[in-house]
Amino acid sequence: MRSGYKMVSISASNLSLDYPLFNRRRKIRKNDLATEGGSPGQGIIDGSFVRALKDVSFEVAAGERLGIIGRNGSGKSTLLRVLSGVYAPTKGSVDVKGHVAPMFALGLGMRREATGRQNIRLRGFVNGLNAREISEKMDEIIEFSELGEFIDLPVESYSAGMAMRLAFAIGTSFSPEIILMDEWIGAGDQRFQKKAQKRMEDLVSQSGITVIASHNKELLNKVCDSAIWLDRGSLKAHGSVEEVFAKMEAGG
Amino acid sequence: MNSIVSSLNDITSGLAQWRVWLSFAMENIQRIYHRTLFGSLWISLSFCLFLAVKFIVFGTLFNNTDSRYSAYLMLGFLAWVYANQIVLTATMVFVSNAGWIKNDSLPMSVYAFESVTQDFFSFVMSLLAVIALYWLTNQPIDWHALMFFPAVAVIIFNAFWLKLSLGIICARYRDVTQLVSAAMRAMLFLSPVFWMPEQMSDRVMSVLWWNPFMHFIDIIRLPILDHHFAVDSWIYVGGFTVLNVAISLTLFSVNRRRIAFWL
Repeated sequence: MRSGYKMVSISASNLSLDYPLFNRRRKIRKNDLATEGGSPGQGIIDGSFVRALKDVSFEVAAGERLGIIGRNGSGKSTLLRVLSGVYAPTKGSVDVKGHVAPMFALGLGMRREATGRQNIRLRGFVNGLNAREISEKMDEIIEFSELGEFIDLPVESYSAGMAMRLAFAIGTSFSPEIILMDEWIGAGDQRFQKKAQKRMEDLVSQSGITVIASHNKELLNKVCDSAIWLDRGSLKAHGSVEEVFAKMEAGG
Repeated sequence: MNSIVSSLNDITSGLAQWRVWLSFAMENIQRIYHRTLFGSLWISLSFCLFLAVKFIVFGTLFNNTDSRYSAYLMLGFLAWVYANQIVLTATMVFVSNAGWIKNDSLPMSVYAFESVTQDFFSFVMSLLAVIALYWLTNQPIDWHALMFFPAVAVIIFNAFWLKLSLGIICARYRDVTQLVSAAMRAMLFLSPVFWMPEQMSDRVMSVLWWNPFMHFIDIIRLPILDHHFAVDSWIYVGGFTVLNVAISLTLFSVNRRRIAFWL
């Protein structure tokens, strides 16, 4: 729950994360690889681990909107999951102050077989609300999602755009202080995107934090005020969105 | 030491999240019986159906169709079905919740509590069938039957810890899930559900005595059926519980933060 006193912040210092690999026919040894790392952009494979994040340090203060950029497999999603507490760092530390709303891949943190309304209830409970507090928010969430009568149908019958709208409406409705978003904000039509953007701005203006991983330069320029560039798990640049994109496009 | 404290914290904060695991469990049950006419009554119905078939086949086979055998089979099967479900669903505790574990940093114990709740619901549905059948067949019962309550409590307690350890092992080593389901099919015949210990030779029984299912069945069945306390079985269950908690707590403490990587 939002508390007026607590400063919302994110702080990562020397964060490293090894992701275990399974079901490999044969463990890849270091000297099997001509260069460090597999394909470009991929983390570094070391024995039975992928080094998904390597010595990453950065800080995000209240009111900031941070974009994470980098090629596929550069560690963006992994970093978001470390910030949300899903993955424990292998080395280093991460300190996240504030109520986190994770919005990762569509379908995670939802039950496809359950109706939209049931999912709102489930996510309300997960966010620590009781039945009364949830029913107070219910109508507002349904309205924002623009699902109408579909709210009482199973989520598996939704289109991607509908599921996205529901996930976004839920994610931003239980007093989140930190929104962690992985790419998919690009789904949905223009009009809803505007509405979503507006809501995120409102949230950040109340001293929240938004962190968005994306490839979309235009989107990040609109939504974020700073960015970091991840390359094979290492932080290569931290600065304004323009600046960081320019560095990445120049190839570091 | 530190990790044991934080895993105990995980369990207490998981317990406090009762709204989450209760609604997860109820939602699972609703989903299974969605659009059926009888709904979760199917648990009771299928229990009775199986029981009737088993009574006819094994009663005839053992030339034993008296009312004591029917009560023996009823209670044994009730305990077995419960224990079997506890073990089989334990293998899926974390795997089946991958979509939540990879999204939300809820206490891991939430998923164990969810599974325990769901199993208990099925048990109550089968229990209703047994109570009805017991009453219909006019079986004798006395105050020893009150031992049923501590017996169920100790089963639930063990179930919770087993969910943690077996859930972790099966998330990491997926073959164990298959192994467990194959083993449980064999365990049914190695446990005194259809047959009685008296029918077995002493040598066979001295081996089968170590089968934990035998004792979990007996602490449920003997007080109701034969009006005695099943002291030996309670001692065995006590030892089993201590081992179960020690092993599960250790596994949980070491691996709790790794589960998300395995899914």
